[in-house]
Amino acid sequence: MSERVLVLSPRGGDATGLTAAGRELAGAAGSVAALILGTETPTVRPPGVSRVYAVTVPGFDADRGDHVGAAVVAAVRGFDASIVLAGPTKLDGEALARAGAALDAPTVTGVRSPRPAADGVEVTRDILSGNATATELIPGRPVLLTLTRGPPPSPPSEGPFVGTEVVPLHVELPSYPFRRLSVTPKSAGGANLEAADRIVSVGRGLQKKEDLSLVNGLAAVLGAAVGCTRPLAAESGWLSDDHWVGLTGHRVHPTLYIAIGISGAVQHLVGMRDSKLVVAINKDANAPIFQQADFQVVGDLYAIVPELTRRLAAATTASS
Amino acid sequence: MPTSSRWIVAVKHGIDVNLTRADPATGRIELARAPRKTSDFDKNAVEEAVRLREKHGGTVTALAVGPATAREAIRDALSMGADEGVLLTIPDGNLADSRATAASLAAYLRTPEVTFDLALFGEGSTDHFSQTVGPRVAAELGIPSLCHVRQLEVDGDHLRASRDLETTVEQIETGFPAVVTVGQEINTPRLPTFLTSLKASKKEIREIPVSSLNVAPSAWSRSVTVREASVPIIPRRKLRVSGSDAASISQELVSILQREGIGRV
Ligand SMILES: Cc1cc2nc3c(=O)[nH]c(=O)nc-3n(C[C@H](O)[C@H](O)[C@H](O)COP(=O)(O)OP(=O)(O)OC[C@H]3O[C@@H](n4cnc5c(N)ncnc54)[C@H](O)[C@@H]3O)c2cc1C
Ligand SMILES: Nc1ncnc2c1ncn2[C@@H]1O[C@H](COP(=O)(O)O)[C@@H](O)[C@H]1O
Repeated sequence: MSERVLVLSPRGGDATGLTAAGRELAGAAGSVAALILGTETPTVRPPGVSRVYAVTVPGFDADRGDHVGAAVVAAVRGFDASIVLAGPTKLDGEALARAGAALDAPTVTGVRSPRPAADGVEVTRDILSGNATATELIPGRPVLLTLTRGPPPSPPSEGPFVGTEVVPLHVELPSYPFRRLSVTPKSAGGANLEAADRIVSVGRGLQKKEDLSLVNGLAAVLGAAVGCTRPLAAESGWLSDDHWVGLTGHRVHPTLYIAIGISGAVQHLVGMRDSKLVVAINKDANAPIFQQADFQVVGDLYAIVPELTRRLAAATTASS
Repeated sequence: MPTSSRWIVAVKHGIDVNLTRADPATGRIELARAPRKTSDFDKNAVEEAVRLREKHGGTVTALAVGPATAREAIRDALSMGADEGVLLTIPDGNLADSRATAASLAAYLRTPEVTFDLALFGEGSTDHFSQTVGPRVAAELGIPSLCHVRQLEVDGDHLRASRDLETTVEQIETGFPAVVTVGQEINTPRLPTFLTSLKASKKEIREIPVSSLNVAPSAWSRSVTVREASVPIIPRRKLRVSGSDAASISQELVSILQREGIGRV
């Protein structure tokens, strides 16, 4: 079966990671179309895309999952798409869930390496909060897929939509009341954890925000990036989301991961399991994190971390 | 005020990801036999629903799709203060996928006897984490979905919610009925007490076979097959760093890191 893959243009520009996945899925016999969100004239031409859909309806809001979902439905019908592919953003997930309902088609989220199989589309995805990896088979068509958060995509290729048909898309928008009262940008620490070779990560064992200086001190001596658990980013907001490691945060693969005051919930472990060497510092000798560590330090982080920082700094000076 | 003050909360009796053990030889997991418990974020959804009832009155209905054992999830919700439970039953061993689950929930919510203002969901189930069931139900019913909500306020005919997206926090206003999905940040779920559990055991759980609802069998049967599930085995050395105090332990760790080639920066 030759697939007709519709790729949902990621917000903020770059489409290459997705269209590349789309092209691979479509194979030589299939074709790829892109759905462009937003009203600006597209300037990036995703390579290998034969058709581009652009929404022309006034009032269309690319930051609404229901609007994008409706656009996906229209584009799937227009292109007769067999597979829809989107990135890992929350709004695109909502959009594909809603579109799946309208099309009575399955939406499978957080997939890796979608591939055509004789009897359907096969995907790999983490289940059980990342405790396990499953191979899932989706036999029907169309199927809607969102990819898992992966390494940063390669830079986009610039250029106009040469030789690509741009098709205006009419979309039926919902009529219920929905108003965005405010939009507050989150602060970003600029951490790029996926690329970090060393990570010093901290959890709720830390008692107050000011104590982050301890963690930052250790990270500085090691030349490491700072990571954290979900509560420190999403609940207390002591660190921005780009520091958040885990199922719903970033998947990291450093040479060294030092987990400080982190209990080791499965949802955190899945984000750090590709680390080469894991050191855990926790005052509870039974903390689950120790089962996933190469070196276990049982102790109070407030005693260990300053000592460790000082001695590492001394060792570094001595050896240089 | 909303019309009926009926708060629905969808609870999943999912796989207990902490108790699931893989076959040590193969790493394989048998999902159908795995131990189960109420999905984590669903407790936040129940807590939020109960708080809405405490503030605005009405009834909290805990709603689940599953085999008879899924009564346990409803029981948990009732112990936390939900008023009644509805279990949409599917045959044992038939693990519904997200599409089938959403179709079943929507079919029930669409029946004329059922009116509701808000249907609360976890933003993702602990075991499957598709994050689709809530918005999917909303789309089936043609109502708004507010996902990843961190704060919720009901004010007359308005529902105000702040939702957490990747780079922004948005304040949204919409009307009723609506679907809201929540994560662990929105509240701290109350713990059931002996007394609330006792009271819960007397509350009614109605069972309705999904097959009796107005939904095509093709919609509630699985469309996704799990071919294989396994636990990646990552060997760790699990060596205790020795020492009598923080200083000696730290010194030992420095030596270890140097041996591992990490001492130098
Ligand atoms: C669907 C879902 C998705 C999730 N996604 C993520 C995710 O992406 N990332 C994530 O991290 N979590 C995630 N979680 C949450 C996860 O389940 C845990 O709640 C969270 O990881 C716990 O964070 P923690 O280890 O910082 O806190 P806790 O579990 O509270 O652990 C704190 C640890 O610090 C230790 N400690 C306390 N004081 C000291 C001290 N002085 N010195 C040394 N140690 C000390 C304690 O012994 C304890 O082990 C998710 C949950 C769900 C249900
Ligand atoms: N079998 C089920 N019964 C009731 N609610 C469910 C069921 N499965 C999922 N849900 C709800 O949908 C949410 C999201 O699940 P999921 O889409 O699987 O991540 C859960 O947190 C529940 O609120």
